[in-house]
Amino acid sequence: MKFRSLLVSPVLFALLFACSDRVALDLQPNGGTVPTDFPNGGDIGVMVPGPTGGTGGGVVGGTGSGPTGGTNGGGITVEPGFIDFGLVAVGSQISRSFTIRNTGSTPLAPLELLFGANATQFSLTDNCVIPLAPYVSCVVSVWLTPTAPGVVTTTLTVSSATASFVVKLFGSSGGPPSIALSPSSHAFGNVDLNATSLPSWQFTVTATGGTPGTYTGALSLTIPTGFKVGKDTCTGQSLSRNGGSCTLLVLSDGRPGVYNGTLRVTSAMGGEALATLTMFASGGMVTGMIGHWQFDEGFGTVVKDSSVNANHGTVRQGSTSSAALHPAPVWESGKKGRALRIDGLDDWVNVPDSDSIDNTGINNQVSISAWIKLDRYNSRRPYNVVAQRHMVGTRVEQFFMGLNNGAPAVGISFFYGIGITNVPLNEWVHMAMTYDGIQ
Amino acid sequence: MNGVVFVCQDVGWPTATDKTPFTMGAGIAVEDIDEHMVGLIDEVRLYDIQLSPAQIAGLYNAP
Repeated sequence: MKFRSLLVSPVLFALLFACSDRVALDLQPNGGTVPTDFPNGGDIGVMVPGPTGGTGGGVVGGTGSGPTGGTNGGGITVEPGFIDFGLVAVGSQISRSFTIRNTGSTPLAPLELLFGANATQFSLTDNCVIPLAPYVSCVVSVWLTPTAPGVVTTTLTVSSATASFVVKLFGSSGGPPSIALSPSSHAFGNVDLNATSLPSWQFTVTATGGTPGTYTGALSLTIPTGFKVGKDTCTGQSLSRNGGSCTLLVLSDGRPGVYNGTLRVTSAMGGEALATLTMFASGGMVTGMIGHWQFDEGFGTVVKDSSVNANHGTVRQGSTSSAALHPAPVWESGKKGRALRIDGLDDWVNVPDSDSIDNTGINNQVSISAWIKLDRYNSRRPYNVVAQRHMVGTRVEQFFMGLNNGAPAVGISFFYGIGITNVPLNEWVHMAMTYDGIQ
Repeated sequence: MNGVVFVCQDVGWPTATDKTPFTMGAGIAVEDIDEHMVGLIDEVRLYDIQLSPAQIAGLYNAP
C-alpha cells in the first residue's frame, strides 16, 4: 500500500502506521529492497543526534530503549533529533524534515508519531510506508505555522512497538522589532536664525518588541522642509530588539519661514515612527539674504549690516544723495532691541551701492521685510519710503516698499501695487514685499 | 502686511540693473532725497530671492 502525504492536525496527533484503523490509507511498497535475510528479527533501535543526544543504549534486540537513545544496533534511526525552524513570521509556514530508517532486517510496524504539549502551531506530512521495509528510509516533514509572536517549542515522539524516540522542535515567531520615536512632537517656537547657536532637540529611536535575535533593519530618515538633522546615530543603523536605540539632533535648516512637518523614521524591515515638528524661523542664515539691518546700535550714525555682505549703512540728514551724516540720530526702543527714528523731514539711511545688492530689482528676484511704527503719514508726498533702490537719474524704481497716502505700497519700475487698508499708526507693523523677477 | 498678502500683480518695464544705493526711511528721486516716512524703523532684511508666503509669515512671527 502506498502511504500518501498528509498534513495533519498537530493536536495530540498520533499517526499510526499500519495496524491501525485510525488512519485508513492505501499502503504500497515504497522503494527500497527488502532483504530476504532478516538477521535482527524485527528489533528496532534509535540513534539520537542533536542536543538531547548521547551515546549508548538504544533498542537493540530488546536490550534498551528511551528518548535519549544511542547507537543503533540494527533497528531504526531517526535523524536529526533536534529541529530548529529559526524565525518564522506570524501567518507564514515553513517545514523541516527528519528521516526514519529501518536499519533492521525485518519490516517495521507499527510506528506512532505523537506531538508533545504546546504543539498547536506544528503539523506534519509524512511519506512513510508502513510497514517500513528493512533498510529503507522515509521522510517526515514537520511544519511550523506561527499564529502569535513568541517562542514555540514542543516534541515529536516516534514510537515503535518496543522503543520511542523524541525529536525536539524549536522555532520563534513575531518578526523584527518595531521602532518608536520619542518625543512624538516638538514645537521649536520662534527661532532667530541670527542667533549664535540654533536651538536643537534630541529625538530617540528605540526598537521595541520583536523576536529574539531580530533587528529593525537599516534605518532611514525623512526630514520635513525647514529642518535638518545634526548629530545622527540612526541612519543606516539596525537596532537590536528590546531597547536598541539611537538619537537624532533636529534643528532649523536655516531658512526663514513657518514650518510644520513630520519627521519620519523607517526601517528596512517595514517599521515606521513619526514625530511632528513646528517652527517659526527668521533671520539671516538663509541663502538669498543679502542684508540685515537690525538697528540695534542705539547710538551713532552707523547702521550695521549683520549679513555676510556687511553693507553697513549710515544715518544721513539732508535732501540730497550726498547729504552729510546725521549729527544726532534718535534711537528708541524697537520691535526688537533698538530702532531708528525717521523724522519725516530729512532723516534717512544710506547703504552705498555694492555688487551684493546690484542684482535686486526689475530683472531679478527681490524681497524686503521691515518693522515700522508710524507717527503719521507724511503728507508732503503721496509716497513714503520704507526701503528702496532707485535708478539713478530716472524716476524708475528698482524696487520700492512703503506707503501711498497711508496705504501699503510696493513698486518695481513704474508699476506699483497699492493696498486698500491704511497701515495702522502708533503700533508696530510688519511690512514685506517679494518679487519673482519675471516682468 | 502683518503676514497678509494685500496685492499681487504682474509688473514690467525690462530695464537693466544699475549701480544704485539702497535707502531706508526715504528714497532718492533723481538726485534728491525725498518721500520720507515718519516714525520708527527696525529689522530691515533684504533678499535676492523670492520669499514664499510661509517664509514671510516666519519673519512676521519671529521674536
